[in-house]
Amino acid sequence: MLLNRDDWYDISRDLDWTLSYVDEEVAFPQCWTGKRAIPDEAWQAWDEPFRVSYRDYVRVQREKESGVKAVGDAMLRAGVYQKLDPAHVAAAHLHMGTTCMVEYMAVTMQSRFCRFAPTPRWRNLGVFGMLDETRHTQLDLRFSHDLLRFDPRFDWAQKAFHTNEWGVLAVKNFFDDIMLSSDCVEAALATSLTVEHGFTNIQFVALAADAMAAGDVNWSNLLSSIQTDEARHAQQGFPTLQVLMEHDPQRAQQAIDVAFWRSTRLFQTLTGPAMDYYTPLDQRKMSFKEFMLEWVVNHHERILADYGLSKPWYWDKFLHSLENGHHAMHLGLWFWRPTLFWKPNAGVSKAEREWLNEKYPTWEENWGGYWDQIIANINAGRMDLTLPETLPALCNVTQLPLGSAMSRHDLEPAVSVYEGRTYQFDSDISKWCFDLDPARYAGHMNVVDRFIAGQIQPMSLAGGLEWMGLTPDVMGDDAYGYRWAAEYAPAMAD
Amino acid sequence: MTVFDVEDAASLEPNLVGPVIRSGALAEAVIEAVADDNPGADVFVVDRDDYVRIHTAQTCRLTRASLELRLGRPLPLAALEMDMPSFAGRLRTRTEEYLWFYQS
Repeated sequence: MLLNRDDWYDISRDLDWTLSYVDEEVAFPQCWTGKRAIPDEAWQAWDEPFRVSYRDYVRVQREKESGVKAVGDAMLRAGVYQKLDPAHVAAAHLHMGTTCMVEYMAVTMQSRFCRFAPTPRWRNLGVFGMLDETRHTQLDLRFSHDLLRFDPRFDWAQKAFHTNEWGVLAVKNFFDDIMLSSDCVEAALATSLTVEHGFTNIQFVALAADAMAAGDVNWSNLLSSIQTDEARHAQQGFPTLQVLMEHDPQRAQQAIDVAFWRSTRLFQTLTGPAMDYYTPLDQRKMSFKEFMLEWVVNHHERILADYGLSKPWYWDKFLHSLENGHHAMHLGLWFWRPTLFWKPNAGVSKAEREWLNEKYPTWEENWGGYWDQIIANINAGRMDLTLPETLPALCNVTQLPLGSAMSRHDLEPAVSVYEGRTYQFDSDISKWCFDLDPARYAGHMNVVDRFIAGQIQPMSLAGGLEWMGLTPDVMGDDAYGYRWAAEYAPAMAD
Repeated sequence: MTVFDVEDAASLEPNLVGPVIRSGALAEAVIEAVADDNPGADVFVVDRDDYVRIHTAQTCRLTRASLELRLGRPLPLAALEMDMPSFAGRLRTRTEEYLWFYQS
């Protein structure tokens, strides 16, 4: 009789070696396991919520692959991509350029789990996570390769992380930290639990719903298929959290609070503009804030409370940022559009503005005036005034512009001095992250630090664009060629 | 037991647990199976067109037997993953039963 998986699973996952020819610390160094003072016996309580056998894994993944490929092929034959709204298309360019190589970085992180995780149960699951992330990288590359003939921006799926484009550097900085440089325990808390369980739902489920409504069946299907893997392997974070809550709860709280804020800022940059500005108005399911409330506040924070974690100390500030941060980032992205490899939609036509004010009651007061001036300049033919001549000061933790985390009134400087160097931050929360572990962030020079140090030549916007690898065929410009501003012209003339 | 279609997920009480399934026949079968497997519990369904939240309060049980009955064909619970991009709550997976729950 064939055994049921439940009959043999517990034995198979505990397969391990008793080391005799090498010291434990040499085979499993603290710097990679992250065990610290947690006793070895504690890891015997590590119990994965989402059980997987290799046989099940292969069978299920094969079906997933067949489905994604079939949909992709059908959409290509139907020429769906060529019919998509140009504003929506920018969201796919942004996603592929900033996410594809993060998937590849995640292969390395999962490989570390396979090799160094403090329990064989976790090492076993890491194998599936590693295969998942390999799949995601290949899916993104195949998707982008299929569409490369229609737009050179899809080349950035592979190219972006080999450039110095500032947004890509911000993404890379975060994931270098929590994927490539972190030990297993911290990577599980920051990446598996915070990013994969908390935030990727926003990009891979919620934005996928927007993409489906926009008619982008291929991309939507790819996103949600990827997230079916994420939902499973993100669960590696919870038994790790369970062990930490028993033996070192303060470490868990701190690691998660830092990762939560950095994730918030990153997704305000990547997902917020895509949902609230790039998705065509009649195809938006909900606002970015509403999706964040559904997925991050209700869905994610509730389970953290179930494990005994408190909300981050900066919770009220996070909610304030939720009203504002992505609007500030969008304004900056659009204004500095030559520094992008996608074409951002301004998204402030009269109808869109009405929607923004309905969803965000303080939008007009905070951001309307800036857009009014941009619109006036466009309609006066002064395009030069709508384009940047300088670079914005950047945060030394998030790598995002100062003044882009909260409302336009929240501009109080956040500064730390460490070993004689002054560091600036986009918020006192980012400053708090830095001050917890300054050596971790201190050596890094952000784009503006490098500019001021003379590392970017010539010291002009043109020099900066060349340094970022931006070429005319991909350089950002308004998605609709500024046509949306025309409806304001009579009112402006009055 | 009642199945509620809910528009605003943010207004739901915070103790809801259960799967999020991509829209389609499987999601319909899961709604019915969850109703079967959780007698006496209200089933809250949030349909976002592309995905469907299927939740009950505090614990949500789904058995292979109920799912296969409602789906009309064999389907190991492990295969649920193909169309489950997310879920709310803790999860316990066994061959014949998935259980989503909160402890507190």
